Amino acid sequence: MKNLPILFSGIFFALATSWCGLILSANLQYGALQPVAVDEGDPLYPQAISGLAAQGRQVYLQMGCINCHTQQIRPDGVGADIARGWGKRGTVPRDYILQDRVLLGSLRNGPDLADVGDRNLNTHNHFLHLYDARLVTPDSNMPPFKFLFRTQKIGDEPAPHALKFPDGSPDMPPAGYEVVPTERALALMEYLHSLKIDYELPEAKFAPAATPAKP
Amino acid sequence: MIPFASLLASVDPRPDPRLSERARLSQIDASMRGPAVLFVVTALAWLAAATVLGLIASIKLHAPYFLSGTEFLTYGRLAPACANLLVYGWGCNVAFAVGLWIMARLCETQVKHLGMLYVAGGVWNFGVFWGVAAIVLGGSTSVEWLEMPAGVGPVLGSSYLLIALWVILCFQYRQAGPVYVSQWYLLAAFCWFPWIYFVGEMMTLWAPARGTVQALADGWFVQNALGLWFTPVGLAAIYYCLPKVLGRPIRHYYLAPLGFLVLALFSPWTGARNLIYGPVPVWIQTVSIAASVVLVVTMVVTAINFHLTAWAGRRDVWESPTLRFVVFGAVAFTLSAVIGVVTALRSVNVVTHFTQFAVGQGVNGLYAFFTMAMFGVIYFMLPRLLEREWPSRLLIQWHFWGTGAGVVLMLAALYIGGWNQGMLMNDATVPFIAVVRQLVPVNELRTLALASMAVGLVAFCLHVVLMLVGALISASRAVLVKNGILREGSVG
Amino acid sequence: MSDAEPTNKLYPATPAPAGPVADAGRLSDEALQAVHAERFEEKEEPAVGFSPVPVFMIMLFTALTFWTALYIGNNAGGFHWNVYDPNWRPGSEQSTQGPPDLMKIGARVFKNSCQQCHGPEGKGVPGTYPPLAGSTWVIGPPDRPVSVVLAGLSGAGTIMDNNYSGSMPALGISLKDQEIAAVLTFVRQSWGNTGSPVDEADVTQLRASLGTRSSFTPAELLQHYPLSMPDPTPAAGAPAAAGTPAATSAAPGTPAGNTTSAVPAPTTGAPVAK
Repeated sequence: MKNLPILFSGIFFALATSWCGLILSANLQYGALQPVAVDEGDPLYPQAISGLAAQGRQVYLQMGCINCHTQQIRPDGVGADIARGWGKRGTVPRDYILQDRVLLGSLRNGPDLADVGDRNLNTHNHFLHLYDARLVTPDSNMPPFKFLFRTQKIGDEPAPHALKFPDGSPDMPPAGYEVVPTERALALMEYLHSLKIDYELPEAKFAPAATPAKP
Repeated sequence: MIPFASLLASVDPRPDPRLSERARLSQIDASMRGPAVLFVVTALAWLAAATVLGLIASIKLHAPYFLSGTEFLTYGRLAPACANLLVYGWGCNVAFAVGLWIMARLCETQVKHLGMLYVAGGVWNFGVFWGVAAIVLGGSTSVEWLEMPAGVGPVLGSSYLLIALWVILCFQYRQAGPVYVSQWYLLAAFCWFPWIYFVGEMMTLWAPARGTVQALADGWFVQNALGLWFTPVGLAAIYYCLPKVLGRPIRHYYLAPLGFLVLALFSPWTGARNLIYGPVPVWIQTVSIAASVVLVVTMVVTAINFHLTAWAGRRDVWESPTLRFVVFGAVAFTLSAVIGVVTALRSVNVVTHFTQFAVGQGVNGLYAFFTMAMFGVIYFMLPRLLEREWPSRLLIQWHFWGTGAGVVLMLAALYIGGWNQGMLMNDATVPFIAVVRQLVPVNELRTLALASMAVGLVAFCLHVVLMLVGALISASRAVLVKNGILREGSVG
Repeated sequence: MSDAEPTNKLYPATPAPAGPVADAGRLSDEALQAVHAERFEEKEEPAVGFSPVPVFMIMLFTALTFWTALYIGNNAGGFHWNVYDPNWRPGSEQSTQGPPDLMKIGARVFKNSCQQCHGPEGKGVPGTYPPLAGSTWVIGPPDRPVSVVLAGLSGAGTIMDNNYSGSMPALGISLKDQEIAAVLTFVRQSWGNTGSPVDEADVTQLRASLGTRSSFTPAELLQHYPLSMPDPTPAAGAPAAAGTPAATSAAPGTPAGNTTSAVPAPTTGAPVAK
């Protein structure tokens, strides 16, 4: 085949059919999904996140968290996502319709975060983990995010989220000072708390014997 | 009318038919000299930058306190920066050089109006710099392989079009005669990439699709960037260099167009293969899996073509720097294609998804196959463009063993470690931190491998610099001789 | 078509140069492209064993086509947008849309429509709102509580040892049959109550037979459904209906044999002592 126009249209056709078949048809099929209630009178799910959580999502993007964390739970029986307590059910497309930037992720250097807000994590420990993960989990290889915290003089009383370090820790601030999360860290924590798959959808019910969320 | 005709004549890339074949060929090579050298040099610079960033990132995975004081070097920014440098900085630049050169040669056309190519190259590299700097400064979009901010898209896209235009012009004005499969692969690749890039940018950044359709569009882009851009360019290079250097044609060549056809028709449908058991309807996953399995045809065809040919001339393969790298790339392609087919199947994907195994697949395709093949073509191309031989056999050895051993070690560590990681992750009785601990040796081996690849790259860059300096010296000496300042044959 | 080693006259190979540092292009570009010409432009003479594509490739293609078609057919979930399980088969939808969970719906309806008066634990407010927990009025024949919900209950009466004179609105207007069946199933099986579930079909039937009547009075209700009347379809494990055989066969409206202190009030609804 030597004819440029024919070759060109063949080349285009090969790409166009796949785009139509895979992406366009997917968009037509479920691109217009809306939040829905399972039973009459139930609230609509999924729900939009608050403004502070949306700012936290920007921090999540800036720090490149997606390179180590996923936000998708595989269905019950596939892998051990649900058995590990990472969620009560597998995630489905409708869970993501209200997100501007879908952050599914493709690598799990760290645990999945789709349902992290539902795991009743202790907020202080969560901040400490963000500051330096090894203070909470000794062998973790999560990068330390000390630059998301600042050291400030203790005011009349300690700030609400001031970090409490173990005795003798080299990170302990000097006397009279405390380490507090910056606005970015607070927003990020709000975002993490907003990540919940704690509701059912008509097409996605909780797995039968879902492990209760790990503390 | 007359100006238009002269514009057409100025664009017409066909060389003067009155010249002999050797002279025509050297005219083609001379026409490509500037742009190809420019693209190769910038590509190697980006590859060096990518290697440095990749090394730092790899160290951070097993020594998290390494350079951890600043947010600009946090792992989450270095990893995408390294990937984008590899794809757009190294990969695309070297593809421009190799693709244009092979196309020009096979079509027996020159590349004219080099100013256009220099401008396009400059704009492209500016775009890459801006994009990667933005990622390091915190502007990553977190869309895989499209992490550069949205504004970079039109910059890269428009400069790409200028370059791709030349590939199409070369093909349009080619000399009468049969068309070789490399020309098909290159023409197709240079046509596909702008469309793929446009769709990817539009549907994820400019007018983001709703929900997981965004992830589908991104997956489609990544799979096609690998399968319809880098793969065809790499295959075209192997199809060209292997028979040329060996002096014997490709065995069972009649299968080659079949491989091309299957790749073209089925590879774009594999877009959802990294979303298996993810939040997309199951039919999309199934279609992608089926398409991935059909690609076994391309794997078989290229394996027959490349390996039978190379085996028949194996002694020559070993002795030729070009062929060592090119055949390495060919073997890596077969390996990555086989693994690609197997990991598309659900029962295997359950284990390998989200693990270092997938990273290994990326390294296999982008580095072990594409990069090594491109190294080989550069070994073949630069002597012809610069009209001199490579000065040092030792540097070639360092390059080959450094990069070859490094990438083999990296693949072994990532594949085996990744498989292990997947098996452990799928066992809920194993706490997650135990999985992390198990990966420490894998990450350390990866760093070691990267260090070896860096050594090989340093050797190669040094060698290219020596080539260029030598070419400059002899070129300037020729000028001085021509102008009577130096006597012919003088040592000065 | 055999692919023998190329002969020298077609592809003259120049000898390799000394030293490997610059690979010679031993095959000219023209010869390279001639390969394509030779394979594709010239027509082969048909002969025995002639096959442009090797047999194994044909077999590979066939096998792949077969496998792909089967695989997509079996694992594409019918191409539905809401199927995420590759093992989905048509007709298996009942598992996700099973029979409605009456207890769950009932709990919701109770919370929205009954709780504000009868309390979250069904304890009611003595003297104002009758209790439901442990109440003999809600167990037994389902039609009794269904009638109350459908048509309302007003007028004075003694319910579970307390006197009430308020009124309960007819919720049959605002609640659907399924919701009434659900909430009464919920009430009859919560807080220690052991009544049988209520069928939606029964509610529909009773609604039709009641028509648009005014609310019952407690006495009238007990006339139709005495407390001794057993549950026609007792729940599993429920104690045997407390009614006497006489009461069982008693037609509605016979006040004899009542075991509670309910006083049959005249239909004029004159209040009895509070």
